[in-house]
Amino acid sequence: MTNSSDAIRPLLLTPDVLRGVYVIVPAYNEGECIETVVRELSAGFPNVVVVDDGSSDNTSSAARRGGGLVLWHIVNRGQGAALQTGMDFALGRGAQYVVTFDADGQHQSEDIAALLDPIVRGECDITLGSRFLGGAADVPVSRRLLLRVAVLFTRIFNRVRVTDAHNGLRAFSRRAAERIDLRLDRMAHASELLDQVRASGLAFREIPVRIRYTPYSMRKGQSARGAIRIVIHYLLGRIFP
Amino acid sequence: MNLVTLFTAVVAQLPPSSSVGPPTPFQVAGVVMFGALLVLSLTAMFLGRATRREGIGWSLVWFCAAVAIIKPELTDTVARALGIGRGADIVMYCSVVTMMVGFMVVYVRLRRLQRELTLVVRHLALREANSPAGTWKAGLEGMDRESQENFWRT
Repeated sequence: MTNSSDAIRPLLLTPDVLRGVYVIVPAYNEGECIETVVRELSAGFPNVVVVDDGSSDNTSSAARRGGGLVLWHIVNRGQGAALQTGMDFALGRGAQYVVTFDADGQHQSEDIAALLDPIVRGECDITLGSRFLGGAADVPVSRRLLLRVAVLFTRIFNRVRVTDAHNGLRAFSRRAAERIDLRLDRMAHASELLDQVRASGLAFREIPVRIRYTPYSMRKGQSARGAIRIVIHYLLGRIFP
Repeated sequence: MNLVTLFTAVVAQLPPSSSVGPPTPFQVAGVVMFGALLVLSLTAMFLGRATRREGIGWSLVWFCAAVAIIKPELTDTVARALGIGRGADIVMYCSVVTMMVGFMVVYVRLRRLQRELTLVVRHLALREANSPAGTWKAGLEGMDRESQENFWRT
């Protein structure tokens, strides 16, 4: 999709549509920056749901100050579990569109409109953010290598052709969100989610998004060792469902 | 029939030992230990603390272990029948397999437990979010230190 075709399409995010949009932000010990992230999101979206995944810092109160609705996991259960809690909550409140957004400030809230656009138009049910579609100029080399391996892994094991396997920025239509049931609590949920997207038979599309690499988000991101742990966790999850 | 007489009767039916002589200290200690475990397992079964299957299963295990200690050459016979060189080897193979199966069973149970814990945590989060009283944490954070301590005490 080029920018020129975007320009001739009028924006579909009317207040009516926005009321049905729920932005889910899973957060674990993100007190440092969650307030800014939530404030930015709240400026554009009426329903921002932060799932505090058993944080030991002030994540909950900071998110509330930022204007988010906070759900609280009494003990840490991992990002997959937090996302699922947020999705269940949003669906229970009658959400028509569900967006997932990382808490560490790496995503830009302006990108959400582009993710929602094809879904609101009924062209597909799921959109996945991809940092590599737009040229990926600002992705650090260490990140790029790791993510390339992750994409290869995704093609082999999930049999889904994507350019960016583990991007936290995604959007779902209501019927797509209803079919997602994440059982892998920790980070392997990203692969599990792609399995379920493929199994659902619903159309998905990748949308270019920009990632802000800050020292903070780099520190909170996955190391190569963490990635290996995720792979093991995912494969075990497939063996012992 | 008394358990001890049953045990001696069964042992007496086994082929004669090649190594004749008084039992070694190891044999005495082993038989006492496995005998105690056997009695424990059967008692647990009769008291209803263990199911019949568990009671009989574990009793058989302890019984075989005791027999293997009293008549080690018996394990050699079994090993040769299976094409394994020595009796000690077959005992080791069996323990390794048992341990691996044990680890797997524990792993699967742990996963199930984690899954259940997640469901409970998520359920609580959703229930609190939809209750007018708000979350515990929100309530706690609004309190001063003393009220917080009182909250946990009550």
